[in-house]
Amino acid sequence: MNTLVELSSVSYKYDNIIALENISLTIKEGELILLTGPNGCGKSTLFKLLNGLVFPSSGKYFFAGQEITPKLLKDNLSAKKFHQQIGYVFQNPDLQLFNPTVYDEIAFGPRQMQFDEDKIRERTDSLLCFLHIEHLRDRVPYHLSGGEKKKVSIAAVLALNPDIIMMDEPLNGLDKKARKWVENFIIDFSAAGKTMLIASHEEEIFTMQNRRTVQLDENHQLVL
Amino acid sequence: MEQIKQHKFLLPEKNNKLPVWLTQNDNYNPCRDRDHFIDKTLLALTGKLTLLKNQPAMATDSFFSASFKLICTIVLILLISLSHRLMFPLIVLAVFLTYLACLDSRRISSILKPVSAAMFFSLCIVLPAFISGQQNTLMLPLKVFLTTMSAAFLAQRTAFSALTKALGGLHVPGLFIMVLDLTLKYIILLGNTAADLLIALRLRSIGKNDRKYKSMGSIMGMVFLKANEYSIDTHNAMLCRCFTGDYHVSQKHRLESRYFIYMAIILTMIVVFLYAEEYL
Repeated sequence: MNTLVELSSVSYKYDNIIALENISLTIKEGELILLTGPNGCGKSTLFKLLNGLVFPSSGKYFFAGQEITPKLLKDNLSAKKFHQQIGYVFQNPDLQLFNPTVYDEIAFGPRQMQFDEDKIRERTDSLLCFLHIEHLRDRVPYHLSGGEKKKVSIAAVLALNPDIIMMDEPLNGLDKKARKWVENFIIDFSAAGKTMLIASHEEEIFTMQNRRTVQLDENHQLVL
Repeated sequence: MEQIKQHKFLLPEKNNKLPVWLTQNDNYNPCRDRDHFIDKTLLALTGKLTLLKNQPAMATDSFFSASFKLICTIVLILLISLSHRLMFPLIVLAVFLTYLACLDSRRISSILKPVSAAMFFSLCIVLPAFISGQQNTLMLPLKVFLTTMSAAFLAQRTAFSALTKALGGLHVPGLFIMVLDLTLKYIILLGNTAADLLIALRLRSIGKNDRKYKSMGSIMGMVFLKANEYSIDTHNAMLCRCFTGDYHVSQKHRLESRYFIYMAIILTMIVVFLYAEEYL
């Protein structure tokens, strides 16, 4: 399996506060990684770093063999290619959904990729069907329930067909049925060979066999 | 096994397979697009939010209370406005520049930026009068410079919460203070919401977007909806906690020795003003 993500002795500080300390991590294609740790240990910061929203204060970050640096992401094309390869599902779907309808929300990515309208419709409809949200097609995302918003935000990210899906606390604020649905989605998606990185402080919930657990401690370091 | 059984039970048969395109690589090659506006907006927004969030950390004075600083600033602005001669504004300018020289470059620039903008604006207004021979009109930009700098010093050295509390001491209505407090809180909250939405837009802007302004409009709409939701929730929460329209700002005053120093400073300012204006 090829290495998709490689962090080499990465540290990140802001305003002299340490958020990540000497993190070394490798994620191979098809792996399912569960990132756990207490609140404030740096899980969300690590996700920001992996998405190129912040950059290491020291150490190196490689994605698909290429070092991710501010200079690389300043280049419009490199940044777009990089962001297409990583799908980031936010903890709070309200902060991710900004289009007037669910259909537009899911079609936003494919439209940017300059697909023709038939392909966009096919891709969007297949996701609406796969996530069982066809009935929400013309609804306003803002007025959906928490579980429905989560499904729409997952669909919006899947529409980009990224190489890796990162989900930040995917079970937060969901009821029992929606939590089970998200768990099953992760199992299903991982079984299909997709690479996933899930951040959650509820380690005991994801009981699938093929996962690898990585833990951040209160000192913002990885526990080996 | 139990997981898989539950999985089949929860997801309908027609849905439990991934769409074929999702199992293949798109080999996507993005095309160039002009979308620096997202980065610029995001940078500007996060910069302002950081300033607002770090504001209490800048307020390091413990000897001078917020009430004193507020009264001192009001008196100083009043005296600068009342001065007819150049002497008093020049004395204040000398004191301000000496104080400014003691600050670090980041703080100097954060004070001078808004102050210079205000002075430049007033300079533009009086320029026609100055060109037509009214020499004394240049006093106005100088006064604007000094008064805005006094306000900037106050904002730099005093936490916003302490300042609103000090307003209570000046018998400003409690409801007004509450509105000010809530405004700052929601500027930060809604600013964070807008910043997160911009990040989401940036992460999904992976190609050519011909409807950039529509996306920005949608983000503004989302922030407006959030503001509406927050205001309804806050109102309900306040009602549930017995809010009846009275907002009490706690003010406990004890006579302390430092208050004499405060009074001495304010009196000195007034005496210097009277001397400079040749009343003494």
